[in-house]
Amino acid sequence: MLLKKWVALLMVVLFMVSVFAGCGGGQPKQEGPQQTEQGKPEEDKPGGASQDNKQAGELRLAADWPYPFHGNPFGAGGIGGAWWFAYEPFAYYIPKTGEYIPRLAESWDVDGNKVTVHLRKDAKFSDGEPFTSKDVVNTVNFIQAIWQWPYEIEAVEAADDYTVVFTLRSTSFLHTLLTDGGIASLAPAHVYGDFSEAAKEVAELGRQIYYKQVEGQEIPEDMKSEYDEKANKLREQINAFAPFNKLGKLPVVGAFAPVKVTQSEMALEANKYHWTYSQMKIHRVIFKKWSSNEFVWASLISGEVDAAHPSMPKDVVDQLSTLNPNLKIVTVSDLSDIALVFNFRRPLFKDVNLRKAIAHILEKDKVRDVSVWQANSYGEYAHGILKSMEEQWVEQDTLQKLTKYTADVAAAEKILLDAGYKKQGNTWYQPNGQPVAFTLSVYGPHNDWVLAAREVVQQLNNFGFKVEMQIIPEGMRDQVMRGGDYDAAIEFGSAWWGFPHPLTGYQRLYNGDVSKITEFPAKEKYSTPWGELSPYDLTLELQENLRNDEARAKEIIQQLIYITNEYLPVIPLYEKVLPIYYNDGHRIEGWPAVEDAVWSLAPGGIERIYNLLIGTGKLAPAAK
Amino acid sequence: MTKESLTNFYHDYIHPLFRNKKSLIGLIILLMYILMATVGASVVPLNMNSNFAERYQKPSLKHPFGTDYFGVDIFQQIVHGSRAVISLTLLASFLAVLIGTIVGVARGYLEGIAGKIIDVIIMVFLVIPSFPALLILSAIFMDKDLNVLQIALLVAIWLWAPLAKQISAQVLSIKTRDFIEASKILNMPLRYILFNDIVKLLIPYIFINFVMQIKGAMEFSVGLMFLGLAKFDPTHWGIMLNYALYQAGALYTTQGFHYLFFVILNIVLLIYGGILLSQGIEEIFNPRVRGNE
Repeated sequence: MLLKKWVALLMVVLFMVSVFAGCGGGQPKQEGPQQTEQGKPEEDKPGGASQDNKQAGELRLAADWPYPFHGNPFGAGGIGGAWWFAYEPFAYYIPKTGEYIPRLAESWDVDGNKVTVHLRKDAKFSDGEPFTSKDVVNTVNFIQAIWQWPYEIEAVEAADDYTVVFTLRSTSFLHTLLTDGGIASLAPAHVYGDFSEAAKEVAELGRQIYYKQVEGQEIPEDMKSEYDEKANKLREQINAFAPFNKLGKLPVVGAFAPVKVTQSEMALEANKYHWTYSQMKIHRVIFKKWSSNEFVWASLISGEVDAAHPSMPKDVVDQLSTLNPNLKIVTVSDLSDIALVFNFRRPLFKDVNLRKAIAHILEKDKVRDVSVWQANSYGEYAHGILKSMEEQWVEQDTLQKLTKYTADVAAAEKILLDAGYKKQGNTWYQPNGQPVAFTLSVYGPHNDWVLAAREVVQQLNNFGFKVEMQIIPEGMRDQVMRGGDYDAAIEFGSAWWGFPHPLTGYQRLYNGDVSKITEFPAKEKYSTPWGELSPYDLTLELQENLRNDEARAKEIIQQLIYITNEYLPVIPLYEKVLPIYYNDGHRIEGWPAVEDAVWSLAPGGIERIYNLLIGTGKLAPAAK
Repeated sequence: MTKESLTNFYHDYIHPLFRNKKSLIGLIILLMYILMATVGASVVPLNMNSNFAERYQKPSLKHPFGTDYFGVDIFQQIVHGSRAVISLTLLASFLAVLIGTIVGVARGYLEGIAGKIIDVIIMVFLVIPSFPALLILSAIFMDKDLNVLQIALLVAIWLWAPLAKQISAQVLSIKTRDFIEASKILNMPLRYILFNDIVKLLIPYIFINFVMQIKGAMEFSVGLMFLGLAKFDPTHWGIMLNYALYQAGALYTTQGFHYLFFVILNIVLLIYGGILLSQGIEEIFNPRVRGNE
């Protein structure tokens, strides 16, 4: 018996020794010459850590990326969080000031539908090749061929090595052309040269088909089959292309190139040929895998990452600030709102009285509190203009014409009773005798949406509707929402990503993503103080008049504000914000003040802020 | 059933449960939760209205378990959630054990091709990754309004295989014993050998497995709710735990300690009650264990 005990004790000791040996053994391995995923020593890699770089600063962030890493922006998952560090747009746009900051473009001229972009002459890829207009033309061909976007570009020509001329279908695309990270530099001619001719051909065919479709013309069968055959072949080839593996490097025109990628970490080294290189005080960016919000919270507490933007409950923020006094927070609008959207294929929601009643029932601030406590409150209107932009776009005259949707149960009851609804016991019934019963769907992986849905369901049930919550499983959001397989849902409502302007939001509601999932009858005419108007037509007219007739554009916006508020295609709950947390002075210093306009660059690509701050020499290693 | 046989049944099976400390405590705990699930909801009213200003209130007379991230009373939710936990989770565990036992005993007893086929079926269910399979099931059943039994069956499908494998191993060992050989020589029917000779010996083992399945079934049922397969119930303890950990970040703030603690306490207590009862049963009915007392 005693022997058994000793043997057991020995086993436990041996086990613990092996565990500790295992833990301790991991560290020294990190210091030796490392094998990258391609099996080559790290020193052999382009942009590999030089003596200089080893002494320079390092910025640690959290992100996701596809693994195994292929380095192909057209492949599944693209290049993940490295996108804005590796690829450059023609310019950055600061929404708060309306300022364009030139990046790959030195300047641009607009002449009608022609946009001439003058490229900077000192831009080079990370392998030393110069960046020229050929690369831009090649990229446009590739994205049109692979993504079938943006067909707003009718033609693109290289006038000379550093001048590109775009012909646009509508000048409203100008902003996207200048600021989108995918249009200028994804497909360097010297890397994707083997596929350039095929891409050009597919892009040309795709444009022809698209324009015929838009103009209502019939597409010849042979044209369709030729396109399908060539496009599929090209996509197959491009999907199989992995420049990171084939070339052993990823030549990029951006400030940083991925050099070592594992499942848990992605290392980016500064592009020595980048025009901002001489000003950089940080030469290395490390991404830790964003496996979960909780991981990011813990990494922010410990200082393992320098900045991140996870959704965080209020009490966790308070606790984190106590545990890590270096942790600072800045909150910027995400240029989008989270809304209750309706499926207009269901007869129940075709009744505007019901939608108005719901707008009165909901206590939106309560929803915001439990969902994203930092979000901007929507208050009493549902006009489709983001709360943070309201003052800029909604005229006082218009505001006075709008219904105020204050949380008022009595008002909701009155609207329903006037419309023929009845309440029996605790349940409301429609004029046809059916109970007001529906399911509220919400995408499960979006924690904050689930919290919002829970609160909305609670409030509507308290009022006397029969509402059940249904979770949409991961990966099935598009299928459920686009397939119309829901009654009501929590979704992005108005969103001004890309071009921060009411046009973007209204296009989304009446002629874009939201209208596709809700099928709101946007082409119908609605009664307004300006007469009978269709929001679909107004959106098209706004697009046309945006730069030609500013006065008319403003008037259209007021009309759309009215229609959106009175006919409620969606009910916005709160304006989403991006809370950005950063460790100030732990490893990095030089973060801008909270009120600095540069933070407003975050929506749609927060890494642009870090890139800009590094390139201007503002972010620097903290003084020891 | 005569009065005498009832009395005998009481003296042989029920009375010993009250005399054994472990089984008595286990019974009390389980009875408490069954009462909670059956009559609790009518005694304790549920108010799910959120009150953000009152979130994370410490336990008090007003809120015996405190309030959660929404400012809702945790005790009320535990009481109302117990119904879903007891019905769905126990039913799923029961079905998993039932399937596992039948298949396991059959595999252990049967030889030749039949045994091998059952073995393959068990292995297939052992190696199928449950989450992708659930994703597929969710796509298939998303529109269907599944009842508790159907959902419990969906959960049980992914839980029975390990038990079947273990039971088949036990049966393989038991079936070589002398008394089985004797039953065979006496030409006793297969049903008798399987369920009187073999399964009886496995009852404590099966019961403890049933108890241990509760945790797995709870996790699965939460998974099903998040996959949209089961009706979303915010008072389900698994959902409460999910909210506490992943939505409200209760682990990262000292304020939220009681939120996690009381949910976990109830889950642990329910499972522990089952474990105590199964240990008590084993002590009472297994002569070998009784001999060691």
